[in-house]
Amino acid sequence: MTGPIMIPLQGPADAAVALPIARRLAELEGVPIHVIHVAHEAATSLDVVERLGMTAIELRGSVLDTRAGEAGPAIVATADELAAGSIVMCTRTPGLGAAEPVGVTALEVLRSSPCPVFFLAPRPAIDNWGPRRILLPHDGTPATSAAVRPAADLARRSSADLDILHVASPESQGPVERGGFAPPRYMDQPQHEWPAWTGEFIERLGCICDLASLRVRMSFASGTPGMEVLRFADTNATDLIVLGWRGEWGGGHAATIKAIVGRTTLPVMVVRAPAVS
Amino acid sequence: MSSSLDRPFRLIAFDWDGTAVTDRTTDASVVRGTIERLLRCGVVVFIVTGTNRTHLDRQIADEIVGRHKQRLYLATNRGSEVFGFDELSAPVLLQRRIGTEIEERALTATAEAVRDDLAKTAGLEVTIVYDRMNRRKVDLIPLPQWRDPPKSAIGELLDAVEARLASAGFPGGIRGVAELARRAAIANGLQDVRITSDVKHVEIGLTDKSDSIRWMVAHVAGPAGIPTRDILIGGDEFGRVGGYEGSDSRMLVEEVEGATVVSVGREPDGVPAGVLHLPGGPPRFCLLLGSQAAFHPVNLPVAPTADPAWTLIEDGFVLTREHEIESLFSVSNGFVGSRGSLAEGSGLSAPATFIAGVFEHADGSTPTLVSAPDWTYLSGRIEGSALQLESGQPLEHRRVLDLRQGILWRRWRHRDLSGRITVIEGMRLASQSDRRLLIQSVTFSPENYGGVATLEAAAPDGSASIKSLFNVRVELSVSARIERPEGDWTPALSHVEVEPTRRDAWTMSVDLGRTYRIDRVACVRTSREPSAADTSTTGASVRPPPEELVAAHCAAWRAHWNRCDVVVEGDLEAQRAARFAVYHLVSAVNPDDETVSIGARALTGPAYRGHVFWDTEIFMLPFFVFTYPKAARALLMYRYHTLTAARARAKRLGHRGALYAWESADTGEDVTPSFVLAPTGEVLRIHVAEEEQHISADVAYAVWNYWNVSHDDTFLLDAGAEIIIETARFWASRAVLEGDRRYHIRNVIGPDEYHESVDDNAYTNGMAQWNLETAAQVADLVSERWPDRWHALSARLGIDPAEPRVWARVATGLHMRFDASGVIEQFQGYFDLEDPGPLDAGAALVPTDLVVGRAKTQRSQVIKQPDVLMLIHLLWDRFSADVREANFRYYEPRTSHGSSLSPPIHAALAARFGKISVAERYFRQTAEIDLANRMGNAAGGVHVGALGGMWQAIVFGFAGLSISDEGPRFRPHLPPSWRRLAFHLLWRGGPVHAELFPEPSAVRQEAM
Repeated sequence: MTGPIMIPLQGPADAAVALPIARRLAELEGVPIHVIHVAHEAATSLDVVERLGMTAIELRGSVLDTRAGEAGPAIVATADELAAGSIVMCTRTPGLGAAEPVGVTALEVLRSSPCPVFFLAPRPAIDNWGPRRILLPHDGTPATSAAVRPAADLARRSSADLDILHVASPESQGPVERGGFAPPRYMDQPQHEWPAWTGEFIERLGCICDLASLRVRMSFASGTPGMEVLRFADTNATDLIVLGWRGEWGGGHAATIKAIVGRTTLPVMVVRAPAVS
Repeated sequence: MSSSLDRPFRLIAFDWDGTAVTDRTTDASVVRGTIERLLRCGVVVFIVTGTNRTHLDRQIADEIVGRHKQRLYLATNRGSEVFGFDELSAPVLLQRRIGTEIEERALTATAEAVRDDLAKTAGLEVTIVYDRMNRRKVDLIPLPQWRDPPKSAIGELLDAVEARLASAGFPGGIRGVAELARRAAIANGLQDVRITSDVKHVEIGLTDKSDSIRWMVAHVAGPAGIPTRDILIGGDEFGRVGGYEGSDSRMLVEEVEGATVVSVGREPDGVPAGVLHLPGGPPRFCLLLGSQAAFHPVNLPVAPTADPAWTLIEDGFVLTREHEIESLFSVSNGFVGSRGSLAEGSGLSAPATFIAGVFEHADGSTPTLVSAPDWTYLSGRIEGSALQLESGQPLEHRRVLDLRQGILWRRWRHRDLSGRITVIEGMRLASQSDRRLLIQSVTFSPENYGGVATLEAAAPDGSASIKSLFNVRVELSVSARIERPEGDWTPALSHVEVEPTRRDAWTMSVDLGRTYRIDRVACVRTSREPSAADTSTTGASVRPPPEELVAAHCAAWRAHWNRCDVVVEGDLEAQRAARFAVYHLVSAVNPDDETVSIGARALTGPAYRGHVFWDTEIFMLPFFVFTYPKAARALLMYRYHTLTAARARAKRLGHRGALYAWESADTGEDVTPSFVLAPTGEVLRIHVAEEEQHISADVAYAVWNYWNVSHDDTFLLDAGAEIIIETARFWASRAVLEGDRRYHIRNVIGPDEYHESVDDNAYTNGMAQWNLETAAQVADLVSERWPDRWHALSARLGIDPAEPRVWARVATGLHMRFDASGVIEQFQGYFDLEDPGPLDAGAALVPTDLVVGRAKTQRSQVIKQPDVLMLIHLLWDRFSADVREANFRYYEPRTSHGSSLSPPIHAALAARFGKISVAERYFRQTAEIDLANRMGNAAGGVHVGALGGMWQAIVFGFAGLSISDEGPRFRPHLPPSWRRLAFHLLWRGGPVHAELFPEPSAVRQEAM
């Protein structure tokens, strides 16, 4: 991530949640913060500062951008223009009900964003947040490997531990892509199979980017992936969850992301995988 | 180049000194390389020289080894001898003219008459060289400065000789001396004398080069059907020298009229009509030979097999799949195995070469099969740009495992970032004819460019000492040779240090449209082998060319397939899977080494650390017993050699006899890791080492099975009986007679490892019972048929005469519980466990214990793999048909197939029961364990135990093999798509050919 970190803010509540996270990420990345406020009618910067409940001092080091129009398209267009490194935003406006795990604007941004999106639960900000343990759930398919490099880069910059979690679901049909990696179908002798399987999984991910210089721990769970990821995050002091996404949301797609984003209080970084030809 | 030379000749005859080499001290490696390539391309090379064979041996013949050398002839001693070479490359005298005593005296008299005449008439001092075969040489200029003039100084030599003769007043110069000699010879009765001159000498002989050429036509060209127009003759002295005819002109006999004749000499007086003059000496002649070699394309030593029933193909390149490909495409010969890694490496390449039985014993750690220094690395750079799959664009990329020939092939057509297209074809094998050799041969062809290419190859340290318990020393050396169209070549070698390895590097010019080849032969030796074995080609400094090494390897594989092939007509996938299984089983074993066995992943990967389990005896050994008994014997001898450790292990646990290790390496000590940190976060305590004791009965079962099929009495008496008795003694002391007046074996783990620390496991008790009964039977057999051997054995082992009766009593009293329907309880209390309902285990992605947890699994009747059914599979005839089927109906739905060993046994059983669709499903599941391209299962090596199980599924299951003293019988239940199933077996030394057909069940069984 080399471009600025964009923070779409609508009001003081989401500013309070998103700004501390974005600032920490910006420090780690060494990039500026670009705040964007989208309203139906154009407003002056000073008006926007007031609308966000902030002071000019709080915006030091940041660029404030105001746009008129529909929020989702405007945020995506700005991210495109700026070649943003990531977008940090709440999943919905804090205080509003949660019929869906992600609000309309957040979903529009996710669908079209040219860069990873950090989703934040619309809850009070996490004190002194920083990525110390990053959780990377991985289902073994090349398509979901898009999240590996961003997760590893962030772990490297923040000296964080990287937990890779593979969840085997009894319902899963397993990877169908060549080069995919499945749970251990046969466990002839666990004293040999587990080290071999764990090593193989990490080595395959190591093809995507260097993992050898990181503290990487491979974990395995079985059950419903979303719930197992949340359980793992709860019990392992996770600070950030990084998820790969194939780009489909409706129907039964993205069940794991929906389950995690809708329930967790942790920041979730969603990285869209390139389309599989 | 003259147009008459613009075609390939089939026979090339030429003078050596002055034509092919400057003199006898010249480094002849370049011309030798070209000659060797010509020989390998089928061209006959006939070298003619005036001297004896010594310097020809040194300059050329000693450095050539291989069958192609049989096309090399050396005509020596100026027409008096011809040597050829036999199939072992040793010289063979084919022709020798032996002068009579009268002729010898006449030669001497003639030479001395010339000497005396010159002294008398001209006062000229000349000397005579007497010690030459069939000739005498009169030295016309015996002066120190002209002691051994080089050919290149012939002009100066001529002037000096002529001047010496003229100044002495001798008329006619050299020619005059020759005429003088001719007259003297006739006067001495030598009517057919041959007078020749090399300027320094006038030679008086019984033969000359014309005799060589006439012999060549009569004995080589004629029988081979080579017409004279396909003969090329080369020399440097066809024209007159000093007014006397050049020595090579004697080669121009009428028998070679029509041949092409070339002189590369200076020929100051010109060449005779019909002789092409291409001055330039030996360098020019080497070019001429090179242009002849270039008519023969540079190819790999053999062609790949095209039949899809014999090949496993991987097209394209998916980086994350590399570890699987490396395992599946391994080449191995039971002594050494090399993973099928990309030669140039990739982001996920893990090249490894394993040597059977060489384990690393780091202090306190689990012994691990050692990976030898990588020898496979070979990469190319074009104009400094590395050829890599991950850089540029692979236009074609295919890897093929050639099961028939035991060769890994690769074809790669690549466009680099500069648009240069290179075609690379390669092969790799582990020799089955000389197990210490690994061979790699690669061609590369610039398709649209010319330039400078650099090849880099691994240069493992000549000797790598690997610490192990036995301090086995491993030596790995690699030799390399590059072949250009013009001939073999050893370009300048440099070294590249790439920490921590060292690489050889060759830089050369390559031309568009031409093909170049590099051959590399790695030789692995260990201090375990007797040094006497070094007399093979392995220990030689000069090896036959790869063509011959590869041909010998392919012949060895043909012999394997003649014994071991399984033909499945009508189902290509099943056919390929069956041959894949046979390929890896044969590749895993070394019949010549009885100190090693086959690890769970053979020599194809690092998983399981090379440890040996019951997989070998129960799953793999039947294949070897029926098709490769020498290998079966060697594997069982490994257990004999580790019997001491098994005895010690039993003793440590307070028992008698022998308890084999659950996991065994080189010593036979148990090397099972005691715990593992699972990625579920659990620390799993591993109990199998202490509790999975059925391994001892499994070894005994394999011993008896081998003897029963082979009737190898020597093995039974030397080793087998002892194993069976010692393992039976273990069970006799392990089983405890309890209050119910039954013997019980408590606190064990059966093949179903989901349930630990159980009592009276059915498989364990059933196999122990068999072991005890068989030991009693062996005692009877040996004592009756070989009483002396029995006395010796019983004395050595301290067998009490009553002991066999104890074994029989314990066997009879061992606990085994059947329910009313004949279902055997897997262990005490099993029937009371929670019934999970039918499992759809075939569709399951994850083993049941991982999904529901170990604790819950242990409370349920879900089992990992056949246990009772395994017992039935092995001891089929001990159970009634009703009992067999009742147990299959009961246990099959409760089996989760959490072990790769489970599906093949279910396939075998289902087929024997006639449940063909079920059997087919399990058979395909077995095939997919390694061959499915999306599981990742095989990354750490192939599941060779499951592959042995697959063979059993075919032979015991679909073919329905059963054996009795009358011999093998078949009750086939073939899948409908299998039009024919055929294979060979060995039964008590004699071959049996089985051919089976689906409907109606038909068998054609022939003793061969």
